[in-house]
This record gives sequence, structure tokens and C-alpha cells, in this order.
Amino acid sequence: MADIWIELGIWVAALYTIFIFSFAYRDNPLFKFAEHTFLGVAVGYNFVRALSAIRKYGLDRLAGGEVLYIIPIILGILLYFRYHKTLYWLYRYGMSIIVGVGISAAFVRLIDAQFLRQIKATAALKLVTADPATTLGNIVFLVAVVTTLYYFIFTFPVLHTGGAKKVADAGRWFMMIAFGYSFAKTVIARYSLILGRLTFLLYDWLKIPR
Amino acid sequence: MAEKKSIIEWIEAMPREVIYTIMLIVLIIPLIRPLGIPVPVSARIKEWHEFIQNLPEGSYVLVSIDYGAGTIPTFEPFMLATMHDLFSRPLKIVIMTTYADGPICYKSVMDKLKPEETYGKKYGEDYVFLGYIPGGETAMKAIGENLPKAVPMDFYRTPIDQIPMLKGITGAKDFAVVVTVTPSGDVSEGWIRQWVTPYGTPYLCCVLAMMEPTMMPYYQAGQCKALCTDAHAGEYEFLIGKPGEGIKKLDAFSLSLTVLAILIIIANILYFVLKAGGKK
Repeated sequence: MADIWIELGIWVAALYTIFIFSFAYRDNPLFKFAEHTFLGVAVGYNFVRALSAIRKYGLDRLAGGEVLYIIPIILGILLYFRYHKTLYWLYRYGMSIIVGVGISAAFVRLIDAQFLRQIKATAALKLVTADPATTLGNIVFLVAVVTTLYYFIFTFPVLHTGGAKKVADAGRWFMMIAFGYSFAKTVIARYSLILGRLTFLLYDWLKIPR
Repeated sequence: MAEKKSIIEWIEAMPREVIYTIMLIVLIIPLIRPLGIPVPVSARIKEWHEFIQNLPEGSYVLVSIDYGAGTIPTFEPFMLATMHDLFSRPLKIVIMTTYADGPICYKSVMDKLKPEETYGKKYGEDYVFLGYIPGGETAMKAIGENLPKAVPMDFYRTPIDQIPMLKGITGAKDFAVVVTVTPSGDVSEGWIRQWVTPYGTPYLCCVLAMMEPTMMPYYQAGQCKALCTDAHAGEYEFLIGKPGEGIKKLDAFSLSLTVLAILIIIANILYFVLKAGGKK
């Protein structure tokens, strides 16, 4: 009996996959149907998980005598006042706490993690190493860092005129190469997604031997 | 009578559906009949594997399955290979997720891994699943500071103090490494901000291929002990001798990217030929 349900699930998943892929041809009702179903299922699932999290991290603790947990629960409820015509301003208290806590948690470490340590690592770079390829790479890296930073110095317009402009231009080239690399990686990531679905269609649905 | 088109004009006017079909065929053929293209194992994946293999016995590892159901095809092969690597060693593995639909991904991985049957591991003694921990970066901070306080019970609602392997565990300082697999920049950088920077916890990070350039500075600065992408899954499976979905995709991956590169070259040649002929 369980096998029938598994097989039914595979068929539903396969048909939905094909419906979604049909968008590559053009927008159509089957794609819309699959899209809306996916959204509905995703929202439904996340709603249930959110309720479970509220119970696990809020209500259970409140019931266990940790009365301070009433504060985040009230702040959470305040968020829904956004839909009230006159008391909508109350949602700002909940939102401000969420944003404030999030920013403070991230910002305290941000300067060290994303700024100082990067500078330290760049400053500690050994330009000349035993491996010629590494040496070349390190030199290119250093030139790229300096010229890219130079590109963003807008305080002194004179730095972007005449011969000095070539330094900024070099920085722009390095950025373009980096963006190109990022885009190529994006394409690779998309291939990974489509291959995931194709392996499902071929092996699980059409039962082609692996 | 219609004017006869040159080959260049014909290619230029080719509907995109034709290119999609070509790519689809190129992707499907190697999946049905593998070409056996050699699998080179990159230094990056060796670093990841060696780090796990060199962890002292009994070390605590935090594995955060930070992706949702939508990216299971992308990340699961890598996640599964990592789990095989981790479970093959005598480690204490604490698993969690910062994604609401992460528990689906956990179940999917564990159904394939079968830790009890394959590695003789016991839930609660060798590994535990804390479930979805809401709050994103604030959750990472909270569990780093005080895990038992931040997470009162595991996914199956067993109180933390009743789980044998979690006795005495307080937070980030007790963990030998934190491992994440994620398509989110906030998550991949969040672990660095909340665990690597304050506690110096070693960090293994697997991201989407497109995020690799963003994470590379952290890797080069030593904040990330190993940095891999979903595209490394096949190499990883090959390295640990656990062939799975990743390795099957490698042939299709290599062939399709080759065809894509050829198409890009053709498109650029056409552009310059047409430009030389006075057309835009």
C-alpha cells in the first residue's frame, strides 16, 4: 500500500516538474497551476512550522513559568496591528525590536569579521613565494585590490582624470572580470538545479537504470 | 518571394526554444549513457575531507542544514556526502537548521544515510537533531552563547537535559567545527560573525556556486577552513567512495558546459561578423 502512495507522489512531482519546465516555451495555465500550488504548499508548511516554533520557543516556556517570554509574544502579536486602520502604528514597536536586535547582533561582529580581518589578510599577503604561479596570483590580487579601491575614491575628482584615470579603469576591469566570474558561477548553479530535476524524472519517474 | 537568408542570419534568428532543446538533449544523453569523463578531485574538496578526517575522536560537530526544500536537488548530494564523511568517524554530531522547511531536508538526507544501519550510530548518543531554530543570525548568536537555554528541546520534543550526548554542552566553545550548507549569504556570513569571530570555531562552508566569489575573501583570510560549492558534490562522492547523485551529474555537467561555451563563442563571432557588416 505504501508503495502506491510513493509512486503516486513521484507521478505528482514529475507532472509538476514538467508543468514548471513548460514555462521555458511560454507562460501557460499549467505553469500557473503548478506555481500557485507550490506557493500554497510552501505557505501552508511554513505556517505550521512557525506555529510549532511559537509553541516550542514561546508558549511552552511561558507555561513553564518563564514569565519574561510574555514580552516577545506581545511584540509578535503587535506585528498584526499593521492591518488595523487606526492602531496600525503599534506594529512599529514589534518591528523596531526585530530590526534593532538583528542589526545589533550582526553589527557588533561585522567590523571585525568583514573588515578588519580582510585587511589583515591582505596586508599579510606574501608577494614572493616559492611557487611562481602563487607569486603571480598574489601580485594580480594585490593590484586588483588597490586599483578597485582607487576606483571608488570619488572625493578627489582629479584622481579620475588624465593618466591617473588608467588606474581607476584597471579597477573597473578587475570588477568586470569578477562580475563575469560570478555570472558564470550563477549559470553553473542553475545547471545544478535542472540536473537535479532531470535525474528525478529519468531515474525515479521513468525508471531508467542508474 | 522571401529573401534567402544567409547562415549567419539564420543562426541569429534562431528561436531560443531550439537552444533550450539542444541543451536538454546534451543534459539527458550523459544521464542515460554515462560518458565516463575522469573525475578530478580539487584541492578544496580534499581540504574539506581532510579537516573532517583529522577531527579528534569524540569531537562535537554542529551541522546546520541551512537550505530549504526548493534547493534539495542542488545541495543534497553535497550534504549527504558530508554526512557520510562525518558519520564514518567517532564524532558527536549536532544537527540543526535555520530554515523553516529544513526538517524536510534533514529527513531526506537521513533516509538515504541510514546512520543506524550503515554506521551503527544511535540517536541521542552519537547524533541529535535540534530541528528548526527560528531567528536567523540571532539564533546563531543565542546557541553560541548558551545552547541549552536557546534550544529547550530537540526536534522530537525531548528536553535537552535528557539527551545523553548533550550533557555538559554549553555553546560554541564546546564545538570543534561548525558546518553549513546554504544558498543564503546572510547565513554563510552569519556563522562567521556569530561563531568564527567571537569563539574562533573552525568553519566549513558549502554555498551555491554563484556565491563562491562572495565567500572567497573569508576563505583566503582563514575565517573559513574549507569552502566548497554544490558543484563539488560529485568530486566529494568520488573521493569518499560513496557514488551518488553528484557523480552521476558530472558527465552531464561537463558536456553541457562545453556546449554552452561553444554557443557563447559562436554568438560572439556572429556579433563581430554582423558588426563588421554594418548590422547591429
